[in-house]
Amino acid sequence: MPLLEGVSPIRRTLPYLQAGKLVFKDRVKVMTLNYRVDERAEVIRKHRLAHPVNVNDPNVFQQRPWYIQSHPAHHGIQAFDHWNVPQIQYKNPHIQIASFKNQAPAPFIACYMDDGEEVLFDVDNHTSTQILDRLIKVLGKSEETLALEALAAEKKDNPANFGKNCSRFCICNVPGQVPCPSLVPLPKHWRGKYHHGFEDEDD
Amino acid sequence: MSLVQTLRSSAVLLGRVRPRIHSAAARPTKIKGPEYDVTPSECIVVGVPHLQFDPRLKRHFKHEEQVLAHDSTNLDLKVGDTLLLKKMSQPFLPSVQFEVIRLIQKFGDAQDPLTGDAVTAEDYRSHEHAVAEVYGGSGPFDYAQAPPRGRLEGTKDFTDKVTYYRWHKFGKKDDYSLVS
Repeated sequence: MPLLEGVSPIRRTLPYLQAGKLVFKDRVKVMTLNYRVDERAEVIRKHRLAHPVNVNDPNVFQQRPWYIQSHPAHHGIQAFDHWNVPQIQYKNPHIQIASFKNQAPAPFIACYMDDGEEVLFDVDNHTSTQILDRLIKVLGKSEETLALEALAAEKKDNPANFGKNCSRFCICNVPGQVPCPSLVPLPKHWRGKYHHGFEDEDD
Repeated sequence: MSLVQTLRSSAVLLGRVRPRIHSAAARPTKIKGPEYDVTPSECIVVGVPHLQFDPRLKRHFKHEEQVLAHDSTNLDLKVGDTLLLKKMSQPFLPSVQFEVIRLIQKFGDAQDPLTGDAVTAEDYRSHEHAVAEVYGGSGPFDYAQAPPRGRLEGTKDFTDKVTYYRWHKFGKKDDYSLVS
């Protein structure tokens, strides 16, 4: 099987996308990432055939000083945008995620709630792991909540399930199954009190 | 649910103001110009950037969808301004379901939301002035003395108009029209 094409193609695999940890709370509707990138690198990336230069040569980006250049303080959020945003968008398909590059000198993340409230995160010199942990702590659902939601979804998904919050409350409603013991008593050898030799209520 | 429906069912959206929609087919008579403004009155066109998932390639692609929004605020909105939209409980029109609630950034006059200082794309304006004082020279652009945006609209600035070719002699010749 041939190798996947593209930059970091592991991001285009379902196991990677499903391994995302951040699931936003229901109030969060918009997330924007604001950081700086090397303007010349962006121009070369978009018009690669028109700019036949070696992008690995650091001297290339020093030739024209009026191009906006990135800063080490922005590397963490750049890595976050590259590695974690695909997972976040996959896990939160109803949230709008947008990246604004070279709009402000300092990197930050802005989240907007359903009532228009804004939550800002200053991510200057933060690594991508630190940013992700911070977002999970502030605006993400806890692991307990996610486990409960997964259980509820599983109950709803599988039509064979019965019980609370399912389509059928009890299996005794299904024709062909054992009828409800409140209406038709079970055979005595099925009941524990007779099996273990307890007092017979018929006596 | 399609992406369009997903976006339109969202309570809050963030977008950038886009030029008004002009249509050559909507002109009622030959007397009016070829390109007719078909955007509803008191409404603006907002481009909403988002990521669209391709299930075959399993990758998110950048996509911008144009949404009509009702503008009842007195903000002087220009093309490029960043806004926050909210879904209206009662649509203004069948095609207009969002309204402008807040201006986030003015295009060309941005502020750092963390500190509130005025910024350019690369640096803080106060820092640029401080550097100019040390090294001398003419200094950066003086935003304080610059006139507000939109001063020359209709006289020399026609960026909000749509260029078209003059195939017919109308009563008034538009300066932004072209001859092939």
